[in-house]
Amino acid sequence: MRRWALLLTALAGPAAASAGTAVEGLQAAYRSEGAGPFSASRGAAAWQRQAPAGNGEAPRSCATCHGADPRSAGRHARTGKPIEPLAPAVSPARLSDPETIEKWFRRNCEWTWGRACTPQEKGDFLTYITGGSP
Amino acid sequence: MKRNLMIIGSLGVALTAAIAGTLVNADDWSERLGRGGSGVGAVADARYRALCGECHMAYQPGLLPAASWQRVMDGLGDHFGDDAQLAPADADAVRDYLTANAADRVAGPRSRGFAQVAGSGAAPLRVTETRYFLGKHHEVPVRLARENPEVRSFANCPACHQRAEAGAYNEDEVRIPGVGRWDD
Amino acid sequence: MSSMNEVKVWDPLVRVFHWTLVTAFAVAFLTEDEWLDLHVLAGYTVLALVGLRLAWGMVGTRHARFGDFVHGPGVVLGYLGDVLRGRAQRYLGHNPAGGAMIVALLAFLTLTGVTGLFAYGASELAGPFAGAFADPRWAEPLEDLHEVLANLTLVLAGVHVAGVVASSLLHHENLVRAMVTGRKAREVGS
Repeated sequence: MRRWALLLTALAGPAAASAGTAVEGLQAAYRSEGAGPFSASRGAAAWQRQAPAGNGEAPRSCATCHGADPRSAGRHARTGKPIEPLAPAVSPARLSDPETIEKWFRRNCEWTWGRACTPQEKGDFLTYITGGSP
Repeated sequence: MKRNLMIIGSLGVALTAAIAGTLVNADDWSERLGRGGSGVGAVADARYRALCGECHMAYQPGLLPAASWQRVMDGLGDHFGDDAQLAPADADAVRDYLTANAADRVAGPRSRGFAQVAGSGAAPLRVTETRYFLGKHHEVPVRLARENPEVRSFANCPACHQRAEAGAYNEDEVRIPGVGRWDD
Repeated sequence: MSSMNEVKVWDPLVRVFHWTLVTAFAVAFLTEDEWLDLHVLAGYTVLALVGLRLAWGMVGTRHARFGDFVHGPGVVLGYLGDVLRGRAQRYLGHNPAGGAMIVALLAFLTLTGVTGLFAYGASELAGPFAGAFADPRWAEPLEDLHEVLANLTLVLAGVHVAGVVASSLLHHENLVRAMVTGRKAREVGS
């Protein structure tokens, strides 16, 4: 039994590690812009924060598409397409490429809150999603 | 003697027509038969699938005519309310792929149907607004699609069409979540 | 070859037509919706073959002409009665019942093919009737009509095969082989 656990950890390790590297790199960049320290509880609160959509559609938050928390599977609010959980602990490939992370922050903050996210907010989100400590 | 000539003549004409028809359509046939006959060509471009298949299914290019794809690519800044702009190199590659494989550029009964856009007016932006799509779905009640929380939108093809991602949309492979097979 | 005792009955066009039609109808029936383009091609082939047969039935060889085997209902029923009483006359060409079946098959094949073209236009926006059925509500009923007619045609084909077998047994001859070689025995046993 322990051998299987070790094997699985060894396999998941690199994936989790690459998530770790990408997140660390981005948070370091945010700190250099004056943000930090980052807080999972602030990230959690922001995850639920709604903003009106402005085009007649229902107000939405991160949770609207990504599920109640980062470990949940979600569904795109408009197209209905299933969305894999964001937490690398559940979906090991997530948050492994800093460019991809930044791209989706750029698009989704605009689409959800109607504005760009601040480096502080992005750092808080990453801490919350990776389930790390502030 | 005359009878024999007439017989041989008719057979000759028939044979010539058959051979000519086969030669003219040979390319079409091998393509269509290889694809199983009644779907649209599956997405063959990995970059397109990765860039354009995250918020919705990567729609097969054979679902819209080239003019529609041009309009979509021209308006990525406001892509149905979202900013879907791509890096220029990516955008060019995706545009080329979509237009080269558009409904009016490939063979096959489904694509031919999707290429039939109304004479007047601009090419439709949405697959769900093409005449062919509307004809095939006009009997599906809104409550089974838009108001169905597991479907949400007629644009969510894979929700009901089990093999939509492969380009197959046969009626007998439809299973509506919460309802079951489409029976009519 | 006992060509002295055999006589030519079916000319090459009739024979090629017959077996090509069997193939085309089979292909159409088996492909239906899944291989639509092949199905449509088979359907066009069927309609073309029917057209060819209609023409040949007017100017063709003796036993190919409609005049040789198409009779009124009285004659057909009389023949069927004779069959039931076991004293049906043997015909070199098509017997009256066979003749009636040919008329029925040609009619149903035509109806099936034409309704197929209607359905094709309504459902797939293609073919000669592509613009004729603008309202999508035509698609379903036309497809259903086409399907019913195709099934009825298949039933007729089944009856046709049964009739051929019965006639062969009745007169001790192989009518299927005759439709391949074109020749029949000059005289038969019964």
